[in-house]
Amino acid sequence: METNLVYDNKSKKITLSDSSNPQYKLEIDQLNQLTTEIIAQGSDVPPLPSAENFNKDLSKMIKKLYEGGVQAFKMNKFEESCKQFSIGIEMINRRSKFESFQLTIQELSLFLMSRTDAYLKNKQYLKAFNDVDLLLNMQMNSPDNFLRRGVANFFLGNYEAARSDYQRGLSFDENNQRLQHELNICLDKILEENGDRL
Amino acid sequence: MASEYNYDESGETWPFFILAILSLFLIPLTIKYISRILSNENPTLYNESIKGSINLKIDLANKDAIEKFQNKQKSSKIFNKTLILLIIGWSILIYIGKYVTKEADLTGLFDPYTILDISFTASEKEIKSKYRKLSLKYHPDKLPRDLTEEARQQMEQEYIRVTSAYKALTDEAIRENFLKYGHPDGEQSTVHGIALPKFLVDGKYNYLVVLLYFVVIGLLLPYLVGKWWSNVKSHTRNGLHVNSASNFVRAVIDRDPAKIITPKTILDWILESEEINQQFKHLSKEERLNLVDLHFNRKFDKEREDDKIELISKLPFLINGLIDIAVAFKLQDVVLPAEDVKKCVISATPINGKYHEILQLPFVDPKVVESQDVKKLGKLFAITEEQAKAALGIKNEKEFKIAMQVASKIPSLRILEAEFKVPGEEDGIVPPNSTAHISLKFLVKSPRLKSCPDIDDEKLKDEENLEYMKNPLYINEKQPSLPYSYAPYFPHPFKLNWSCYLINQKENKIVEDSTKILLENIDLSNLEISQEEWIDEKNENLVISTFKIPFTQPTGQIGKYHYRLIMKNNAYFGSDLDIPIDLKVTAIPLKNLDNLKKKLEDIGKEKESDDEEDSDSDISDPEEDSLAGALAALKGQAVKKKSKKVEEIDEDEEEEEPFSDINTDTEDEGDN
Repeated sequence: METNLVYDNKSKKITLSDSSNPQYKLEIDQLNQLTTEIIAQGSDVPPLPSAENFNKDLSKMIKKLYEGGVQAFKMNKFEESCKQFSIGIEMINRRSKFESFQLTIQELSLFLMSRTDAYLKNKQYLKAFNDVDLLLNMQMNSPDNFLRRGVANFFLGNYEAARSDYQRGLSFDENNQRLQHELNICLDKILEENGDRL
Repeated sequence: MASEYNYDESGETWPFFILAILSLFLIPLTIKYISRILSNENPTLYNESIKGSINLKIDLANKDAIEKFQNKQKSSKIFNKTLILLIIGWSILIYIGKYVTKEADLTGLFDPYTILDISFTASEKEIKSKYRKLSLKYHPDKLPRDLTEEARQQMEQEYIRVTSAYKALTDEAIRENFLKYGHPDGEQSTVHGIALPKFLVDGKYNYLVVLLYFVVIGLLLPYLVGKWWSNVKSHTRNGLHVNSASNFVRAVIDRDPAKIITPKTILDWILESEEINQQFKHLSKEERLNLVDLHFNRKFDKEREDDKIELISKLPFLINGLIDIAVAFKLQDVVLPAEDVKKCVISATPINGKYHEILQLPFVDPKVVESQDVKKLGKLFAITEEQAKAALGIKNEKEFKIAMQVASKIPSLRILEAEFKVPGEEDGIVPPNSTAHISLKFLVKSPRLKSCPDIDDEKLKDEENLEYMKNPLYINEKQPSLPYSYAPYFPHPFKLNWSCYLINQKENKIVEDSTKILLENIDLSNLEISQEEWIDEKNENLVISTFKIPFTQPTGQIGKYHYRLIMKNNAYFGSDLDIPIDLKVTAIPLKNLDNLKKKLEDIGKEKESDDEEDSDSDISDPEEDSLAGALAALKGQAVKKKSKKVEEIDEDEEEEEPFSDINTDTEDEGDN
């Protein structure tokens, strides 16, 4: 597999000369973004990511958005809540890539969890599934996340998938009442769908 | 006398040499060839002998094309290069055996017992009397006068033989010679024949031998070795082309972690494999996809039917190759969709959607099926026949019957017991670092049957005989093998089986070192019993099946481990199994160890009584994870908790979640 890469000396960016290899586009975009940020940031070597150089202004705004989202959620304005969380996630995405990733991911996972709940409440199950699936793929293996994905799967009609989500959640916390309860509902549903009984 | 090497002048031994060499090749080859033909059994006949198998024939529009394909496969099994080789080989063998070999000349051998015609146990007296009789017959003075010169000579020779035989048995010195060298006259010259006839070595044919040597060593040997090596290099052990294998590995490693692997992704990988590229050069990627799509939708295209069938028949093998690679990387999120694609290929159902169970039946109308609510086979038998007919979209009464018959014979597994077991341990106890296996007890259930009988625990126990103790997996082989599966749309017949994967719940990956485990033996006779028999717990005909899965690692330390067992059927939807299994490793309730401890305590007490002052004060409670701690815990004594760190971390996370009370009242909101 061969591709021609073109390096632009002014913008320091790399471009694909032909569009025949779309699989490289993502990687090249990522590389270009890192280049842009390292230039914008001023010094030759970016400072070590730490809690100190974490962008506090952004943190404040993000926190505000988060509180707004929670507020809306509590007032049962789920659509509004989803919107707030989405803006928050967008903002987290804008953070410089050289900031502490550990802190960023913490913020992001909090937002994703909250947005999943808002989506679930708003009956946007597919979107909820995507969010919580991303969380689980990032190894946020808390029983609550399994509960969230299980519920999303349940309402999407994937009862078997919901069942295995609940069961995997239970392997992290065996006595989780909530998971057990949902699992029972799900098992009943599977039996019912199969026209079977105990 | 020294030994010497001679050419095989009279052509006695070389035919035997060739016979030996030929049979060395021919016999194994013949056995292999015959067993391959015999393995080509008729699936219909085979299934007839198995209870619970599906043996229905339906006529499809592409019947002729499929038959053509099958006949081609069959004839390529019988008429191939091996057959030519066998015919030539055996005819040479028979020719040599019958015409060229001569009976070996044994006259050179000297055996006094045969010459005198007496038994080995004969006494000296017997030998003497026999010798006397014979010498009377052959003695030159006693011969009749009217004999010819030639006969007389012969008789004299015979007399000498008889005399030396007699001497060999009686005279000390001659006897010694006989015992030592096998001949009364002492050492004889030994002749080592070289198994080449003389006319080939001396004389005008000798260039033939040189030519033969040149061909064998100079050409044939390098060619064979080279061919073997290039085959080794170009195919993996499982017969997958190395280019395909490396493509699969690359696809599996380089995949975008943010993207889910769908059946479509799997299909794309498979259709770009080297085998397909080589055989279907004339088709572009889109055309291949179109052909597969045609198959998935059970549509036929007269012009491309042969290509389609060839292509389809290749897919399961390639998918299995991909699965093997994904298992090595422990990626269950590749394995599971790949298994589903395989089933779609075999049952000719679309790769997407939730109606696979219904769509796999013959004669169904996909449009009708996908517009209604019945998704599971079991539901078909819970509704009235009219409703079922409407759900399947089949108008013809006969076709409907066949479809329902197939549906009722698709086995599902109802688990009765699934646990880790260590042979020889009581009450299912799994001690640390032991060799355990997973024991499954289940009922084969037809979708037609509802509910589940109560099975007595006693019936679930394995008989603990010696063989079980040695290898508990032997139970798997003792059950009858599975029939051929019902797959009228798939070009060649194959047997039913389940592939089992064990997944670690914490990591969500296939367990280290485990491979795909095949379940190939189950008794399916439960598929034929009636509902009444099914729920009758005293019914003797109800078969409880067992499957033992090897657990590749030794069980770890004391604690609880969570696994998930997935069993994927290779042909039917609705037969899969996916259950969580917990492994609880506990300390062994060793009675012996207990006794030992008592003894130790007694000794300790004696000491204590000796010097009462330093009693308990500086002997603290044993720590939790020491052996003493484990023993103490068993007895319910105080154990120090080593650390609480793990729990604290968990608590931190909880606090951040504002909606731990997410409302998910699944019951209220019902079927969305």
